[in-house]
Order: sequence, then structure tokens, then C-alpha cells
Amino acid sequence: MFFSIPNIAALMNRYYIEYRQLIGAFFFGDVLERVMFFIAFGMGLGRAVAQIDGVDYITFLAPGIAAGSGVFIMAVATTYGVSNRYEGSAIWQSWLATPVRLQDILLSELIFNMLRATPSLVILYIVAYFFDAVPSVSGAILSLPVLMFANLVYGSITLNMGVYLGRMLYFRYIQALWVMPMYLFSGVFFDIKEAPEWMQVFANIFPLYHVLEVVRPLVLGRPVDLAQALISFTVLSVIFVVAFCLAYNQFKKRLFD
Amino acid sequence: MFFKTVYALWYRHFLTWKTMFWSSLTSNVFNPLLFLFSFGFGMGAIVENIEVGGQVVDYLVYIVPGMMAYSGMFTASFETSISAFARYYMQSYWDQVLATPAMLHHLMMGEILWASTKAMFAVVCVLLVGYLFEGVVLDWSILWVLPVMFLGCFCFATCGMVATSFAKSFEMFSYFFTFWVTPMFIFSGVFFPVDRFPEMVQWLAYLLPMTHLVDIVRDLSVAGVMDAGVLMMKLAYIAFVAVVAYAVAYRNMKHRIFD
Amino acid sequence: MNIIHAENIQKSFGDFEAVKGVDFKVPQGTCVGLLGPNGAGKTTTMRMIMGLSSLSAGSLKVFDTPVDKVTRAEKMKIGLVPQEDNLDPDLSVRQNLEIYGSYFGLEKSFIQQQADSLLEFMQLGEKANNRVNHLSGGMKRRLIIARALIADPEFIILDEPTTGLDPQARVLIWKSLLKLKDQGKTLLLTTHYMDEAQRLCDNIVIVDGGKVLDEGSPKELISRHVKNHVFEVQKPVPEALQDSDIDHEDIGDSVLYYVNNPDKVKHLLPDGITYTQRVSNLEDVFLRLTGHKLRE
Ligand SMILES: Nc1ncnc2c1ncn2[C@@H]1O[C@H](COP(=O)(O)OP(=O)(O)O)[C@@H](O)[C@H]1O
Ligand SMILES: [Mg+2]
Repeated sequence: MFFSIPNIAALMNRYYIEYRQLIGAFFFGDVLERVMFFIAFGMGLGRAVAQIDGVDYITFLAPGIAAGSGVFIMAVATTYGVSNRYEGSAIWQSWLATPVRLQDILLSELIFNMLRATPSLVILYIVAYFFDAVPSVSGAILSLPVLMFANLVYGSITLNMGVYLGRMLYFRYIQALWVMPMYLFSGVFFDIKEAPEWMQVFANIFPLYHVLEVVRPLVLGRPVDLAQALISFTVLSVIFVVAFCLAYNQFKKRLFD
Repeated sequence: MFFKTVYALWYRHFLTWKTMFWSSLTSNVFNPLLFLFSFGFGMGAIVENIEVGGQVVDYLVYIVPGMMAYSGMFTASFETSISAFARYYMQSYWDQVLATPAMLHHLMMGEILWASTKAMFAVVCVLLVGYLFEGVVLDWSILWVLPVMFLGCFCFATCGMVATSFAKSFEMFSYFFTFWVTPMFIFSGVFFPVDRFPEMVQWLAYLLPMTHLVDIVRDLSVAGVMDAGVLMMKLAYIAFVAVVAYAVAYRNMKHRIFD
Repeated sequence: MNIIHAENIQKSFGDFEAVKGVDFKVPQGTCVGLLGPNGAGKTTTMRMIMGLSSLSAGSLKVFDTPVDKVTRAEKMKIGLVPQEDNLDPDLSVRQNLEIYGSYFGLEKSFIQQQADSLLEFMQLGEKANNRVNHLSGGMKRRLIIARALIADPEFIILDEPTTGLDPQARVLIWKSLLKLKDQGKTLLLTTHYMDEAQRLCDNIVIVDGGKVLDEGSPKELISRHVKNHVFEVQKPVPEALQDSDIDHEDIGDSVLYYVNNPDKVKHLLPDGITYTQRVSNLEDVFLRLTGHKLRE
């Protein structure tokens, strides 16, 4: 088989030990930042924006912030974090001297960071619930697996960007040209349908936009366009598989050639 | 001699930055562009009533001064925290300098003034981008904004130095960003007036030097005037934070390096 | 005149005493070596001299000035070669020298002149415009030495200048250090290479565990502690040798015998005994004083 479960389990344990040591820094960075964003923008723009898409601004914002949170966490982890591990401390090389293989490492990086990003989703929904901003609790719960999968996809994309750019110095371009535009133009903060026409077209290139098209109706307790959701899911799955294979090949070149 | 040495240290950073001038310019222009497009046009379409000094303004006009202050704040904070720490911790740049006749004061001042310079570059980039999209008017009152911004950037750079003086690893900066930089991004009136928050939060927001800086910069660049007494009070507060931060950072660093 | 005069200097990090009262002098124009195993407190001592680390107790004078009152002018006269390579990774080889010189507040023309001659002196001329991370270990070390010389200092401190380098690179550095000595510069050097100390140093201070064990010229130290010859005799040692009163040391599997006259041991060794014999050197002194156990 392509992946080895025991190897992945061993690696996850290793990441978990590191995570436990830095839990404070991670927790505040991941969770608190998003919660602050949610509360501040919800309150701050809540009065300037009367109603949006038929709901209060803060209610509109909750799924947006939730869906966007993983974008940042996954991007930083799969660029700076990964580069630090195979170039900075060269810890991957020491793992590769054992039966652990490259594909196990790559998948573990993605899964671990996706799991790491999950508590912040849950906590964000809980906070939003207390602000009366989660109309459909079951919808919010259903949206969790969708967002977890989406985080894997974001991670697989930035993993490629990181390994192809190669040097840490260039990683800020990923932030500037991919992560920020995606966050700002996918409809996290405002309804894309009310934005200028060019922005509506532009938004289509970002996975986050398509994820939000599914997640926002879910959390707002509205019917989801199932056909559309299925197409999005298929496209995202294909992106994930292709991105993973590309990254695998490029890492193989970098590490073994 | 003090200035000559500080200048030498400043120049070292300038020299390395110069080689990356174009990429630095690109990202300094691109980042505010993203925000101005997204918030100015996207958000602007749904934001209804936002006021500066009693007059209703376009949302774009509202956020350009905020973005100026934010770019300066972020650049200055980042430079004396993560970047300075990398030089201190990973590259032993500080050890290298302290082995010469340069002293810790020179070193810290060199870092802080460099960070302020770099931050001012970012501020001017936002100003020009804002001007291109008619988010700000370039007239004489802008000349007042720049020195005020410099004081602000100096203050944020010194605060970043405090974080560096405490940090034991890069992960520690997560606290600095979560509890200091991000709150100044979202609670200090960059995107919306502080009076939208509950009283308690407003009170906390006014402890942050950023809130005062944003107030000044917005009033000066949008309305063109500001009550002199209030202006002085706010400037004094920013300067006060800078002085305290410098003292704390210096004490800490000295203890850390020499003991 | 003494460039350095250390009396009972001490340094603690929290509860841990890294330097527990060290005395030594560095007379002008000489080369003094601080010799000690890893963790002996050599680097800490150097950092105290440079004012990079404050003293916990004792008195340390640099150019006859207490170390915490050293003036800018005095600091200009000291060059430091730190143990770690701390070149500026963002700058080229030449810029590393020039920018470092600017921290001293030196004139631009003087710095450029110095940079030229130092690049030549350290045989780095071809690499002048390269980035420093493309240099080999030996070149990096040479560049750091060149950097320490940028202000034309009288006194140069070198912390393990050749650790981790190949033999050619070490010889090259030794040659340049001997040239500096000929120019009348004062050197203080730490090392744990005995050949290096023997070649370069007029006087050696052996330290361990933050204390001075002994000091003197290499010759003095050898004759004081390990005589002229060393015999290493595998156990079991013959009875006759065991019963003799020859200066010896048990190091586990074998016993070391120190004598001025080799015949004295030889005639006590029956045939079939495994032993080695050699002229004693500083290494024997070092091992004898600091013990044969592994450090850290
Ligand atoms: N900043 C510090 N904090 C705590 N302990 C230190 C520090 N610097 C050095 N030490 C300890 O002091 C001892 C002497 O270190 P050092 O002077 O570097 O030894 P040497 O250079 O002789 O190898 C070592 O045990 C080292 O671990
Ligand atoms: Mg040492």
C-alpha cells in the first residue's frame, strides 16, 4: 500500500508530543486570534451593516471566520513549519533513515495540522453560539467534517507552493498572493453576490469561496444546493490528490536527488 | 559618536534591505491594495453610515488612514520582534556587534530606528495607493501625518523590542501577536469606530497606543484638523509608551546578555 | 605591562558556577593560551574580558582599567574571534569586514584600505564578493579572524580559532597568527589542541571546572608534570615496575610511567610485555592534570 498506517501513527505521536510542549503558543495563536476577529468584526461592523443576506452581520460572519481560519494555520504549517523540519533542523532526514517513507511524512503533516486546526473551529462555533449567531446547530456540526476536509485541501496546495518556491525568503509571496487574496475575496467578510461584478468572477478561483457556498447555508440553516456541493467536493478531491502527488514528486527530488 | 554608531547599525540593515528593494516595494504596495479592494469596494458596498468628525464619508476614505497606521504598526512590530530576534538568536548578530565598541543602547536604537524607517516606507506606500484610488487627498495636512506616524512606528518598534527581550524562542512571539498586534489591528479603529464596542472594551482599546495613532491620523488626513489639546495628549501618550517600553526592553536585554 | 590582569574572577549562572576564581596575566607582546576541556569556562572567561558578560566576583583589568570601566578607545584596541561562526549571513565577504568596521566608527577610507589588506592577508581576495554562506569552514574562520583585525587592534582574543578545520586550514591560520605575533600583537587564545598551544603560546594556563590547574611555558609544564618520556604499559603490570617508586598514573586498562631517563623503566620490563614509549608532550600534561575521563 502507498501509505503505512503504523508509520503515520508513530509520526502523529511525535507531532503530538511537540504540540503538547507548545500548546500555549499554538492555542492562543490558533484559537484566540480567530475568536477576536469574529467578535471585533461582528460588533464593529455589525452596526454599520444593517442586514446582510437576510441575517445580522455577526451571524453572517460566523461561518466565514470558521471556514477561513484553517487557511492561515495550514499555510504557515505547510510552508514555514515544513521547511523548518526538512531544511532547518533536518528532522525529516532522520525519520527517513527509518522505515518511515516520504509519503507517510507528507500525509502526517497534513493530517496533524488539520487536526490541530479543528479545536479552533469548534471553539469559534461555541463563541458564536453565545452571540446568538448560529441559527442551525446541527448545520454547524455537519459543517465540521466539510471544513476539516477543506483544510486538508488548502494544506496540500500550499505544501506545493512551499516546496516549489524552496526558500523561506519567498514564502511571504504565498501569503501575499494566495492566502490573503483568498481570505479577502472569498466572501468571509461580505456577501460576494453584493460585491462588484469582477470580484464575483475572481472569487471562483479560490477553494474557500466554494467551501463557503456550502458551509454558510448549512450554518444558517438553509437548504444546500446538493448538486453544486457534489461538484465542489469532487473538484476539491481531485485538487487534493493531484496536489499531493505533485508535492510528493517535488519533495522526492529535493530530498533524494 | 552615539549617532555615528547608531547610523552604522542602521546602515547595515539598510544595505541588506536595499538588495530586496523591489520585492519589498511590491509587497508593501500589494498588501494594502488587497485590503483596499476587498474592504473598500467589497465591504464598502454594504457599509451604510460611517462618520469622521461628524461628516459621513466613503468607507474607502475611512479605512485608508487606518491601513496606513496598520501597515506602519505591523512592519515596525515585526521588524523588532521576529526579525530582530532572528538576528539575536540565530545569527548572533548582537554578539558580533557588542564585541565592537558599540554598546547595547546603540544596538537597540539601531534596530528601533531601522524598524521605524522600514515602517515609514510601508506607510508611504499605503498613502500613495490610497491616493491613486481617491481614498485620501494629498495636501499640506499630510505633512503633519508623516511625523506623527514616525512617532507611532517608533513606539511600536520599541514595544516589539520588549517582546524580543523576553522571548526564549520564536513560538513565544505567538503571544506578542495574539495579545498585542492583532488587538491593535481589530480593536483600534482601523476598520470601524471604536465606539461600536461595549464601554469596557473601549476603555481597553484606548490603552493601546494604536487607537490614539489611528485617531490622529484619521482626523488629520480626512478632516484636516484636530483639537490641539487632544492632539498633544495623544502624542504624549504614544511617546510615554515608547519611553517606558524602551526602559523595560533595555533593562531586560542588559540582564539577559550580560548576566 | 599586562594587557589582562585577572584576579580571582568568578562567574555564576544562577546556582551554577562556571568560573570559580581564576587568576592569570597576559603580558604585552606575548601569546597566552587558555587550555581546558569542554565546559572548563574558557569562553565564559573570554566573554568577561570583552565585557559581554558581567563578573560575579573578582577583579579583571583590561589595559589597566577595570573591565566595567573600559573606555571606547580601549575597546577599539581589542579584536575578538568568537568560538561560534557569527558572520553576517546577509552580507558579502567584503561587506562583512566593512560593515563591522563601521561599528567602530572608523573612517571609510581606512576601513577600505584595511579590508583590502586583510583579504589578502587571509587569502580571501578571490571570494571578496561572495556570500558568506558559500564559504568553507576554513574560509569562514579566516574571515572572522580578518574581521577581528579590522580596527588594527593591539590585542586579539581567539576562542578556539581552528576547531573543526582540516590540517591545511589549521596550518594556514597558525602561520597568520605567528605573523601577528611578529608584528608585536598580544594574543590570548583558547584551544583544546595541544599542538596548537605548543606552537603558538609563550605561556599556557590550564583550566578545568572553572579553576586554574597550573600555568607556565609548555616546556616548564612538561618537565614539571610528565618528565621527558612516557611509557604506557598494558595491565597486568610486572611486579618489579609496580614496586618501583617511578611517577605513574593508572588509567584503567594500562598504567602510564613518567621518567626523565627511559632506561629506568626499560630494564624493569621483561620480554613479552605490551607497552609503548614516546617523548612526552603537552597532551600528557593536559590529560594528567584534567584526568582521563570523558567530559560532558
Ligand atoms: N549563559 C549561560 N547560562 C548557563 N550556563 C552557561 C552559560 N554559558 C556557559 N554556561 C556553562 O558554563 C560552563 C562553561 O562554559 P564555557 O565557558 O562555554 O566552556 P568552554 O568554552 O571552556 O568549553 C559550561 O558548563 C556551560 O554549560
Ligand atoms: Mg568555549
